Amino acid sequence: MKRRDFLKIAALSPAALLAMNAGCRGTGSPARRAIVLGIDGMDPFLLNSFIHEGVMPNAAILMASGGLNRLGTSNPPQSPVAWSNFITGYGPDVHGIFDFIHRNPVTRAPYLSTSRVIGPERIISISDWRLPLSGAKVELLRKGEPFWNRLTDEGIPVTMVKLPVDFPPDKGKAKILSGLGTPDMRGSQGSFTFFTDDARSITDTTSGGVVVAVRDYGDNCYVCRINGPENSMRAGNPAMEVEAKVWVDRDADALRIDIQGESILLAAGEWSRWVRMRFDAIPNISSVSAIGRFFVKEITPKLKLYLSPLNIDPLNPALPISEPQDYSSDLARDLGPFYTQGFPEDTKALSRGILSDEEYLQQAWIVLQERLDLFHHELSRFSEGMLFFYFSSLDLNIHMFYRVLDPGSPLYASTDPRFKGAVRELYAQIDRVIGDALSARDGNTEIIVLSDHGFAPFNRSFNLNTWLAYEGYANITSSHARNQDMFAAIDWASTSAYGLGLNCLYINRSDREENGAVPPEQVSDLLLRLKQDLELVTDPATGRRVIANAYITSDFYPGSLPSFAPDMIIGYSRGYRSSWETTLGSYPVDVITDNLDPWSGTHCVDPGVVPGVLLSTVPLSLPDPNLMDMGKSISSLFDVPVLPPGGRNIFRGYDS
Amino acid sequence: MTNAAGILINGFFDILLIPFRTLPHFWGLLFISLLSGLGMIMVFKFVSNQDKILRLRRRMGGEILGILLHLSSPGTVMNFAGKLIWSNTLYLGYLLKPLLVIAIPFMLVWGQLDARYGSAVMDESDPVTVTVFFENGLPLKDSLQIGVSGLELIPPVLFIDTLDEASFRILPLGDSLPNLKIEGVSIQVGRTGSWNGCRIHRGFDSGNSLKRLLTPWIARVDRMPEGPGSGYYSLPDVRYGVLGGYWSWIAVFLLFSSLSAIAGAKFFKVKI
Amino acid sequence: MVKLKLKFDSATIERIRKVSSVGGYSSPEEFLMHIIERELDSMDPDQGESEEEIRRKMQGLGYIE
Repeated sequence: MKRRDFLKIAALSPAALLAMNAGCRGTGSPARRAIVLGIDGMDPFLLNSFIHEGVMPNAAILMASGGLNRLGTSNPPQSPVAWSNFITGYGPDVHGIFDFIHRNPVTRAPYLSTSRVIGPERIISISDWRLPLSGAKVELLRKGEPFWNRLTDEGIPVTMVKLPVDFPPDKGKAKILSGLGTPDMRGSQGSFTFFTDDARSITDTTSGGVVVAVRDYGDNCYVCRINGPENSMRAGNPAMEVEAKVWVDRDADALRIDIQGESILLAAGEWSRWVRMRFDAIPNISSVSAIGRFFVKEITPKLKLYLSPLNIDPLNPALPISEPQDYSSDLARDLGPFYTQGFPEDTKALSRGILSDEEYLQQAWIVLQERLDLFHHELSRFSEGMLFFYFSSLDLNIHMFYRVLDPGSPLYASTDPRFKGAVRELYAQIDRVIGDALSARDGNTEIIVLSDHGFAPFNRSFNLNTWLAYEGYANITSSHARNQDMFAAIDWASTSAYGLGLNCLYINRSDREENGAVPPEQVSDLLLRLKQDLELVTDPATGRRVIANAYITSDFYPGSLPSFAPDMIIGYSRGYRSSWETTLGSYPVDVITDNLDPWSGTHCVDPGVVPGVLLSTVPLSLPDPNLMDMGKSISSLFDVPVLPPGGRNIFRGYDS
Repeated sequence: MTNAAGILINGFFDILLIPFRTLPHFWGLLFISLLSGLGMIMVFKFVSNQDKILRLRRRMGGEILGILLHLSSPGTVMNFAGKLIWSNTLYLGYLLKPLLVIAIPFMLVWGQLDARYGSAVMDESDPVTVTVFFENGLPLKDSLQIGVSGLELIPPVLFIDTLDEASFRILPLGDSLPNLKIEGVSIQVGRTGSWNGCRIHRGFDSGNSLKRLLTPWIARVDRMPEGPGSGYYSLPDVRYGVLGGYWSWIAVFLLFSSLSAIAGAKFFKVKI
Repeated sequence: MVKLKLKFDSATIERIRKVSSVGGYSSPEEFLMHIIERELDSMDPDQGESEEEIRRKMQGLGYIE
């Protein structure tokens, strides 16, 4: 887009003149305030198109100030990796986050890369009871120093709301509410509960939640047992439980949920407010608080009652979700409870058919409304320093609704046309957020809008592990187990490589992995051969290359790498992604298949395919901004003697 | 009689809390907690036999010292331990009378605080579920008459035949005091005044026992043959931000009444 | 390898044979070994994080199955 074009768009709004006028202060003098909006998954191409359609007048104003810039993302371009680049100014070789999923280099057991819980070291066991003598700890696995420490060291206030990859939050002087990576109360990334007496819905293999069979014995009452967190004070760690009685009136098409002395009446199709639940570890002595929202999907003919993942109660958090600890409680007191889990939009409930498109979007808008309330609350009291605010809505909803944007999606034709405007409406809402930030701007405030990556369609799935097996890099010995995860089908002694996670490939090294097959001296040659073979893979259905680049990690990130680092990072071409099955070590028969999951957009591809976005009131001095530059650049807006070491300063007028 | 006593007690607390009507809820709760602690320690002082308690405490001190000085002589230790157990029993006996006297005002204060500081007032954005119980069986669905004032009734009305209960939702409207009329029975709902610290009804019943004095959060209604006999409204609890945590009114009350009782005992030289 | 004797009634033996052949196992013994090992892995606390535990923690991560 030419500068003249976007000036024209910007001129459409009177607010543009005000905002641009406010921006006329002399550059170079330190800012008093910086508002940084972290919009996960905002895509430069979609943004550009919506600006042209007039959907995003406020983004157009920002574009007129500092241009619409593509922001270099991380490799691989996954949110935990990308936001860690933003936070530390360095790549995964320093912060240690290479994928959503890492693996134990010896046992190959996968684990979530961002945090882990360490149980109490000493426990007294008395009969069935276990009394911990020290508390359990949660450890943030992201390494590296956050850039804002340089600001807080100089007494500049910093507030980071829903900050990704910061659970538990960094201890320091910044006020932080943790975002992506924060688990639910069951320790998962979000596990719904679905109560039903519909035999067709009852399954014990639903990913992303549990389906609980309930029954009406003729008294119009269903007893619903809600499983909460594990009780570490009992042998075997059984789940703590809360009982809800659900009374139904089929004539009225309504039900009443009686839970812990509280009653909630809901008609079919309604969502409840947040319901607080107390799970007793030791009755009347030790309990934890959780919050959940009910949704009545159906009462007649069958009961279908959805309960959201049990979120950590921000008023009384069972795990550290904010720094200082009472920050989340203060927010909850001012605004009421809110989603605290890192992935609040229940994409799994949609993927599994528990929620329909419409019901999922209702839930997504509840999340967004809560975020907007939080944002306006923080913006209204923001007077000095840096305010970072993170929005997850674009990312998770475009993952689910890319199928309405791309006619190439296998689900494009079958998706209800009513939802075709969903993505546009979400972008429009984010534009209103940008507008609110612009309205809060005075002559000494800078506004920066950035995203961690863009988006691409996920139409075709690549079974990396199956491909490795067919090409002789892996040996399937238990063909009946090939659809089981955790590499159940494999003979390790005759397997030279395996894929785990979304973009990572590992060599089965004899000096690292248990029963590893590849001697260290053969690793380099093997990696070169794999790179060559992978980059030649074509999709027989389209004739297109599946993998744009296979990066040998030690070449891309020279220097010492941690033992859990992948040996190769797979950069998929646009339209392709690792398959659902391959990410945790299954070996389905077909190498490339259609992706028929509503999760139809992806960014887990080659970083060149999905750059992020940078919009700013400050013009740039460099043409190729990168996420890793943002910490140093934002810090340069303030009067600090020493800038953070990572990245480059990209802001013109502030380059020291 | 119970009714008149209830009006008197409610009125007394209403007057006591006049200075706190425009302040946040916490201050009224703190005031009553501190006053209760102080009041209870003073009642204890005048009802208990302070001389006997003082003598007994000295004796117990001597018995503990006796144990510590004769640790090498098991027989003597056993002797002192037996005496100490007896002294403890006597001590509990001395406490019985003042505790019995304190118990009644304590329960009254507890009920008043629960009624005034236990529940949140109804919020215009958050519907409250009302459940009513018909002792003589549910009326026909189409014939149930529900009138509202200062409230909006949100359909549907849910009937639970097995419990003889009907449930529905209400939202407060404007500043007028909310009221329901079900089958001719007039029922107060939620707050009883427009000031902070007023009683908040979270249920009703038509009984008239002494228990009513201890449960001032329950509105009294006149019994009608076809009308509901009792019911409850699902109002959310309130939490108070104190010392970095969020506490129920019970925790705040117990903490601050204990602190003021300890301080009162020190200041007025009360032997406990 | 140490031997452990298990007794089944004939109906159960028949079911094991049937399920193991449908499931693609080379023998009923292989099938039994597989399901016993799987259960041991998920129930034995000394074996580190069980596969069940790993799956539970990853549940809800939309990016994976």
